[in-house]
Amino acid sequence: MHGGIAQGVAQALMEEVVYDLDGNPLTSTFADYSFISATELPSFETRFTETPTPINALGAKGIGESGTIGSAPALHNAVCDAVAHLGVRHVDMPTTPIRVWNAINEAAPGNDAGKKGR
Amino acid sequence: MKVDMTVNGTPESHDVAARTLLVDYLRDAVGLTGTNIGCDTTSCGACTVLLNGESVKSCTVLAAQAAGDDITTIEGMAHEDGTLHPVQAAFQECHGLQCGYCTPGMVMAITSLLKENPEPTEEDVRVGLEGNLCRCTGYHNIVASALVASRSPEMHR
Amino acid sequence: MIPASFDYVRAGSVDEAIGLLSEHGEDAKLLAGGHSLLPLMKLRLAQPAMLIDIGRLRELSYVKEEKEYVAVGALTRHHDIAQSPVALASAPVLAHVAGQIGDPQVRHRGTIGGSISHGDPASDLPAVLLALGGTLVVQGPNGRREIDAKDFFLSFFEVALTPEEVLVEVRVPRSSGQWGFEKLTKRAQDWAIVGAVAVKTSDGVGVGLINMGPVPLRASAVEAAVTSGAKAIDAAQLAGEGTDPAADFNGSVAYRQHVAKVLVRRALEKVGV
Ligand SMILES: Cc1cc2nc3c(=O)[nH]c(=O)nc-3n(C[C@H](O)[C@H](O)[C@H](O)COP(=O)(O)OP(=O)(O)OC[C@H]3O[C@@H](n4cnc5c(N)ncnc54)[C@H](O)[C@@H]3O)c2cc1C
Ligand code: FES
Ligand code: FES
Repeated sequence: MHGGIAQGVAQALMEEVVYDLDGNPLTSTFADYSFISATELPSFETRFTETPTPINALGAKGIGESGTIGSAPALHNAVCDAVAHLGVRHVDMPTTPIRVWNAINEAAPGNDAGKKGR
Repeated sequence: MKVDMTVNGTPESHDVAARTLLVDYLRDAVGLTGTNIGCDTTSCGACTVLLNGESVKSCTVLAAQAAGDDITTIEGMAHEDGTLHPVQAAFQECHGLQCGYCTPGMVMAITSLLKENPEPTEEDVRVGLEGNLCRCTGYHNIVASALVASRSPEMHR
Repeated sequence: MIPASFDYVRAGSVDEAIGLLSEHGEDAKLLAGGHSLLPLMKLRLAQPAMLIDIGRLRELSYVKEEKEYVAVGALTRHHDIAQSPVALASAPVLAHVAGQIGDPQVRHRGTIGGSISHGDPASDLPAVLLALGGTLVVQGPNGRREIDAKDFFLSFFEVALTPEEVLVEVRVPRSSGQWGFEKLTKRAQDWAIVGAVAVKTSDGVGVGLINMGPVPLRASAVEAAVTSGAKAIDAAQLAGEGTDPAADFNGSVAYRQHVAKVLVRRALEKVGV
């Protein structure tokens, strides 16, 4: 679960495979690919609810991925909410600093400084 | 060239090419494969060992640079009778690993961190581990392991 | 990944290193901590035929207080500067910034001399040196000379050292006063997307910029505005002047210039402007 949460947070905020216009990968090492570290993350509080599945004998299912499935949209929505008052309706994932700035600029009437950025 | 150093208390002497990295010296010449290579761009910390007691990324140190030095790898952490080092014991207690790939580097980085800062806060640990990546655990239990290890009496002797 | 083949020699003294550099010319490179050079060599972005290891020259590892300035030996590691009581008392901005470089493992190996000689515009310490108005002491076959920090960074990864010269000492004016250091990164271990440093000096406020052009920069327009009494928020509007930042997937030119203004304002506020 913890690892899943971390990966979802990372997908929402920074991890992404980027190619240039000729198709060359720009994020081919961990120096360029923003693999999230302990410093960017908080500790997590987890609570369990038990709902046995009726479709196998053990009643058990894997849950590791559920952390990712929940945390990515939670983080992404939090970022969108934080800039909603500026008129921003959407930011592509991951919400890197440059993307958020571009989205803010695009939403601001009469200011297209950010449109040229990636 | 001949490169001599002390690894986990044992004198080692091997004939290697000048371009041999410390991590390859340890893995291939000495035969200690506990130290992993995870990235090769000095980013992941899986290759972290102690050089004269301080954490370094052994993929970014030439074996020749470490000639004459004292190296500690994960194999040198447990006591002779097999009792785990407090940082290792804390990882076991707190379930601080899943696949284990990052673990040797994490243990060495935390050992060095605790030597420099014996009573770290959670934030100190998180900042101190900025150079060590883990894909599996989300770091929660690794940070907990470091804090538990910091409270071990053996770490304060 | 391992580097291409090279010959390795350990220099026992600065003179021996200079002798080896003079003998082998452009084919040879000094190796200090190796944390800029070895990554480049592994990627084949550098292929020197010979490495002259000066990493063991302990006599070049110190932080000393002199009358007018703090002297830092070129082989002093970032970790040792960050911990140095002399640096903490008399050049606190230098100690702080050294402690923010890369990660602990990098700081256990990387040296101030390597950071400055490498001439990487994304490095943190050159901007501090510019803001403080530091001086570099270099030694060559004809003895020592001093170079003003503002004359040291010539162009992208090119500095004012001749191929036979070794940087031996970095001097910064004593400054127990206020300072502000700001850097924007995605992750803690990353290099700055943009960074800014402001320090109170005897002649006003010095401002340095990280990763805002092919060389480490001094924000002269901002400094001049502060001298003529501008507030942080107004002076910082000039942070983009004279800059020529690269564009990459972490930021367009316009974005970097915007961030520079924000970081310069924050840094100036910390020095009470
Ligand atoms: C993962 C990682 C992250 C990093 N993050 C940052 C960061 O956030 N900020 C930052 O500023 N830096 C960062 N660095 C760079 C780090 O600070 C390096 O240690 C530093 O730039 C170079 O110092 P060095 O002693 O390792 O130099 P080396 O790699 O040994 O040498 C660098 C260059 O300088 C020359 N040289 C070295 N010493 C001298 C001398 N005394 N005289 C003349 N020439 C000399 C060498 O010949 C070589 O060309 C990072 C490095 C890594 C690997
Ligand atoms: S293998 Fe050395 S840091 Fe990743
Ligand atoms: S436990 Fe798998 S990478 Fe850390």
